[in-house]
Amino acid sequence: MPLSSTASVPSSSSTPPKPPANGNPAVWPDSLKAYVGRCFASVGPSQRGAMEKNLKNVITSAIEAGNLWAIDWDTRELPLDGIKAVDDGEDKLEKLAKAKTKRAETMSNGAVSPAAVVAKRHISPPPSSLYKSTSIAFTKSDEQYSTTNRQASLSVSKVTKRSAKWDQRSVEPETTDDSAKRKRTSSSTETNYQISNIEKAKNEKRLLRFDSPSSNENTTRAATPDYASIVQDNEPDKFVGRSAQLEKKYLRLTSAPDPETVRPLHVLRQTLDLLKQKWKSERNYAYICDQFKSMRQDLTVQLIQNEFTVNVYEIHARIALENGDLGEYNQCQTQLRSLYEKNIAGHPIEFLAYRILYLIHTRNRSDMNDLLIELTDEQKADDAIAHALRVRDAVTDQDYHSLMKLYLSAPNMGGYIMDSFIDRERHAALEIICKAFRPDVPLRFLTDEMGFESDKSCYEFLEKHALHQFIDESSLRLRTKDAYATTQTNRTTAFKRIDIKGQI
Amino acid sequence: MEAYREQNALTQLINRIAERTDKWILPVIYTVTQELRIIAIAADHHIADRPSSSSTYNSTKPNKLEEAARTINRTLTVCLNDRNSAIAQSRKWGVYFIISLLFKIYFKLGTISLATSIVRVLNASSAAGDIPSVDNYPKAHLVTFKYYVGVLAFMDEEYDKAEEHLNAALNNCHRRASTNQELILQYLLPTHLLLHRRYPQKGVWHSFPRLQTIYEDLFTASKRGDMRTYEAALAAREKLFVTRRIYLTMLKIRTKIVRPRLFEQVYLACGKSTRVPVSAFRRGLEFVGIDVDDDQVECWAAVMIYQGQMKGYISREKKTIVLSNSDPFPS
Repeated sequence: MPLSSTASVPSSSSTPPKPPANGNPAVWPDSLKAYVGRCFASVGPSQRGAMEKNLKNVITSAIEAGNLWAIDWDTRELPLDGIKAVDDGEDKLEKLAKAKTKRAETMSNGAVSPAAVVAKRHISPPPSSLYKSTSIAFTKSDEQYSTTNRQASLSVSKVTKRSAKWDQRSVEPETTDDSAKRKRTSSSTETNYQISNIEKAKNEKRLLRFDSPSSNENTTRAATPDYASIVQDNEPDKFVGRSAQLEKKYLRLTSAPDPETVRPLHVLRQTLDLLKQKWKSERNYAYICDQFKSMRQDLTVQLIQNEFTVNVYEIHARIALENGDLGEYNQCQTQLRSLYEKNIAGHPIEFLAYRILYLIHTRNRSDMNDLLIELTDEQKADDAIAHALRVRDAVTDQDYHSLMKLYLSAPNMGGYIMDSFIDRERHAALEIICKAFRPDVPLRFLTDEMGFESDKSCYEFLEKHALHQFIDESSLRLRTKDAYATTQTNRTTAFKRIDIKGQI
Repeated sequence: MEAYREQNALTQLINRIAERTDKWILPVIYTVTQELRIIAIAADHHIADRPSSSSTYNSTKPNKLEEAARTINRTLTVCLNDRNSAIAQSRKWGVYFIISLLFKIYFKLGTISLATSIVRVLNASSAAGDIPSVDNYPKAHLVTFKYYVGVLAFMDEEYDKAEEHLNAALNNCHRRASTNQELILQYLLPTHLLLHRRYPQKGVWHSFPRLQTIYEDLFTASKRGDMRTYEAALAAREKLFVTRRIYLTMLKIRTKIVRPRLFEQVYLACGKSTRVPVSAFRRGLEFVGIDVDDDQVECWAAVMIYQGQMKGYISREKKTIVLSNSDPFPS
């Protein structure tokens, strides 16, 4: 079944080509996002449902008239029909707006270029090789990044490219939060809307049951579950948590969950914002991973499966990738697959590309074959997926030249997945080079053909694998014939199947 | 739908009865399971065609074939686990028939992994001497079985094994069973090309026009090293090949057969000189519409040398490929 999240926003395919081509099918103008932000900020939580309705009408008619990008949303008045503007301090959107502007500020002073640190002779590859973006919404000073991250061995120029590339990506995920809300308003078809009306009625009945034993809870909390539950897509008998504690360590559940410790959806939203800030400032992966797992747990026990859930999983996956944690990434990926299949909005194409790369890493031929069979033409046309497919081709053909070019130009966070199999492929490349080239090859050639940042890092790699002894120190050339036997051993070791329990 | 439910119930009943019977029940099993498969397919079509306005309590997903597969799987177990001491009377003689049936279902459903797991189960029983040796079974069962195992090996890129099984299937095929032969050849032809650089004789195209439509262009282009025609033809048939899982093999052929052949043409055009500059190869590629830089050409040449399609070495310094005196492009 083709993975397609565009089903949830069918009308957006008719928008004029102005929106940036970044693979997101429902890109909205910034002014519209701000507009929606103002709409929600101007009403209280109990009014959200009505505001949603109004917004949906406004936006849908704009889409149908093709005006989405033409309307000046900044001056458009808010659709307050039938709503009384109540300001009750629910300021999540304000926080988001603040976070956005903060990011914009730090963006401008984050792109430092400590070019002096780059290794001596190597002229850095052309700008098109910006190859890795950071995970969403997070900027950092280059120094802080390279010291705290275990990939600190990478030259700092890589980091510069990464943070520069991050600019392009940064708009995306932050706005999934906003666009998640907006998608809710505009994406429902008639039947969906009817269903959600029925669900609304059910929810209200359920909430009455819920409210009575805990009548001493303050009204804001009683009101917000109302909003949260209307917004959800599927409504089995829900377990709703009551905790208001934003942070929570992850504990594997051994018995039925206690509602006092589980955070309901609106609290989790705040948690997500908090975690984003903490990740930005502290960069503590162990802590973040733990917190995200507990968020996922809370979402699961409450059977919350909506765009927020997708957002949480996507963010966690990207953070995991950035830290080379493939196991955690894979868990998120698995969950995301089933969520996308339920047509919940997110970035399925981005993650499909990651999946292809991951299957290359695990050398899972049968799953890869199945995936290829199900690819639609539309998916194949996407840049990230096309890139991943070319990587697959290059790896199968043992075409190291193309592979390294693709590695250095990997979109989104694909580069991190490629990190995990690039060394293996480098060994394969070395073996081929040492068999075919005589009498020797210059170090610079190896640096280029194996996708290293600099001669220095290339040399270090060769040293690490007992090949530096075959390098003629004066001319810096590798004696291929002598080195061949060692390259064979290296390659065999690299391609041995290692069984990592539960992760591959 | 009704028919399906009845047939499924019937098969399950027969399964239970069969546990206590000898091989006389096999013809019954054959008929019943065969019909079950056909009816299940029809039932699924029926479900798919029906407008999904009313969501009945029963799932409206076309999963009847899957269900049927499970029932027939049970039949297989019944056949395999026959504690009858007299082999001649054992139900085990039904094994290959049922397995072939299951293969057909799994291939239709696309659940290839289930097919491979059956093969594993079978190999285990075979190795343990539980069931009679494969060659003692009726030919008809064997042909189907070997065909599927061959295709599974083909999909797994185990081309030697694929060739072995597909050849065996072909040889045991009835002379006039042209549909079966065509099916087998569909996989055997690319296998021969990839493994041995062997091309089919003209007679093959005459006897099997459908295969001719699919393969002739590609094979002709491959013989001449004409990468442009090859890639165009491949792109035109991409969907067909992908669904039959032949696409990846054709890509391999491009890398292992067609491209080296192109390089060979350049070598011949240079008067069989043993020292050919890299630029000559690059121009040769340009000539067929492939525009790449020298480094890419060297990379491709290096891979060819490494994989044995070309004999010689590359001098980076002189940007030349030095080819072997004797037979630089072994066949």
